[in-house]
Amino acid sequence: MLLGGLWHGANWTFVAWGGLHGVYLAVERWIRDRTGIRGEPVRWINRLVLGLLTYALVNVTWVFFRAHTFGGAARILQGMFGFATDAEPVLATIYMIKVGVLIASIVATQWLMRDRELEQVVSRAPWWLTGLVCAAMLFAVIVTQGSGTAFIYFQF
Amino acid sequence: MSNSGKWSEDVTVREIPKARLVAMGWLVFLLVTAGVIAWELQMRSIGLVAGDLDDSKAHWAVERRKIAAGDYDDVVVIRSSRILFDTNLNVWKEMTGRRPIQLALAGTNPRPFLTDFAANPDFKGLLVVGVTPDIFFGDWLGIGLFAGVLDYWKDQSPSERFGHQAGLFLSRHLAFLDSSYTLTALVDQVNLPNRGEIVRPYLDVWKVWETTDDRQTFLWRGIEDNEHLREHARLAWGPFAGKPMDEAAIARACKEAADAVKKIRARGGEVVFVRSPSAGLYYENELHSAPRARTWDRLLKETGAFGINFEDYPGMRGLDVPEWSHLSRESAVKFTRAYVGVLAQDVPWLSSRLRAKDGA
Repeated sequence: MLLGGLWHGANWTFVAWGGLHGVYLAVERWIRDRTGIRGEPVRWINRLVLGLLTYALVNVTWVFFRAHTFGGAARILQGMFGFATDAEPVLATIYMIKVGVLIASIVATQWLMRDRELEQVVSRAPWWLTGLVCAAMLFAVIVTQGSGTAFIYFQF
Repeated sequence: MSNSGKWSEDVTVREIPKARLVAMGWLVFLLVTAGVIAWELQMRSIGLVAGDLDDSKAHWAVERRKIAAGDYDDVVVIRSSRILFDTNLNVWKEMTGRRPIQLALAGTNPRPFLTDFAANPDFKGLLVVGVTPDIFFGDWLGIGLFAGVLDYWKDQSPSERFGHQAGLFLSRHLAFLDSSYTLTALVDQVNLPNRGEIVRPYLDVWKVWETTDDRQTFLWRGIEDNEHLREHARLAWGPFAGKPMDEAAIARACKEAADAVKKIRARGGEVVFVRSPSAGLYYENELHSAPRARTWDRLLKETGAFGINFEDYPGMRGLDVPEWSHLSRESAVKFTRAYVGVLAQDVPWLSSRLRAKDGA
C-alpha cells in the first residue's frame, strides 16, 4: 500500500495515504483473526455502522492525498475533529448541500447495489423506468459539460 | 464471479439484461433530445447565443501560435478583461490595416505576459498593455482560471486540440454550451444564507463576456439588458474598500515593466499602456487605492513608454460602463476608435507602419 501511495505522487503525504489504507486492512484482518468473524455482516445496522466507519476512516486518508505538507494535513484534521474552534467558516451553505446530496446518493446506491448486479436490476425493473433513469443521467451529463482537462491523472 | 455472468475460457462474459432494450433506447433518445431542445431554448431566452465561443486556454493557444508562426500583423494586446472587452479588432484593422492578436485574459495580471514577450527575441512588434491599477500594481501575479497558459500553447496535446476543435464546432450551433451556465454553475448561483462572512460562490463572477473568432470579446448583452445580472456583476467586483496600494509593490511593478519595455525596444519593438474607463464605486475605489500620481504617472515615467489614460481624452470619457469595469459593446467601438486614433498619430512605431484597409 505504501507503493500504491507513491504511485499517486512523489510526496511523503501520498505514502501516508497508502500507509493508512494498509493499516486499516491490517487492523481488519487482526480483528477477524481474533474474533473469528468471517464473511459480511448480516444485520442491516451492522452493515450501516461499518459502512459509515469505513467511509469516515477513508476520509481521513484523503486529507493526506490532498494536502501538500503534513503540517497542512494536521491543520485540516484538527478542523475535522473539532479542534479549530476559532476558525473562520469557509464552506458556503450551497456547497454543503451539494456534498450532502451527493454523499447520500452514493450511500443509497451502494446500499441498493451491494448484493445485486446491474444486469439483475435492469432485467427486473420496468423498461420505461430504466430508460427514464438513463435519460436523466445522460441529460445531466450534457448540461453539466465539464472541462476534460480537469481529469486528475492529467497532472502526472 | 457475478451471479449473472459465466466464465468463458479466461474471459468473464456479462449477460445482456433481459429487457426491452430497443424500446428503452428510443425512449432515452426522445427524452434526451426533448430535454436538450428545451434547455437550449431556455438558455437562448436568457440571452445566450450560438456562436459565443466562451474563452479558454485553448482559444488563447491558437492565437499565441499565430505569433510563433509569424502569421500576424505585429500588434499584440495583453492584460486582463478591460482591454479584452474594450478593444474591437475590426476597428483596429479598419484604422491601421493591422488586426491585433488578442492575448488579454480575464482575471490575470499582465506582468507575466509582458515579461514573457520581453524574453522572446522574435517579438519586434507593438505590444498594447492594458492597465487596471488594482491588478497591475499589485503583488498578485496570478493567471487565475488560465493557469499554465504561457506553456500550454506549446504543450497542448493532440487530443486536447481535437477536443477544442470539436467544442468550437458545437459552440457555433448550440447556445447552452457556456461554462457560466452549466448545471453546476447554476446551482452555485442559488443565494442561500451563509455562515460568517462567506459571500461566495454567490458573488463569484458570473457570465460577463461573449467571445467570437480571434478571441474578439464583448461585454455580454445580458449585463446590459438585465438589471439583476448587472447589479450582481457590480457586487462581484467588490468589496470596494481597498487600502492604498503598497509603495514597494508599485515600485516592483514599475521596475519589472521598465525592464521589459527596455528589452522590447532594444530590438525594435514598442510597448504602449492603455488605461480603459471604469465607473461608479469601482472607479472611486481605484482613485483611492491606486492614485494616478503614484501608479500610472510613475509607470510612464519609469518605462518611458507612451500611455493613454481615458481621463485625458474627452472622447474616451462619458462612455457606457454598465457594470463599472467594462464598456458596453457600442462604447467599446468608440473607445477603440479613440485610442487607436491617438496611437496612430502619436506612436511612431505605428504611425510609420500604417497600412491600407486591405493590409497592403
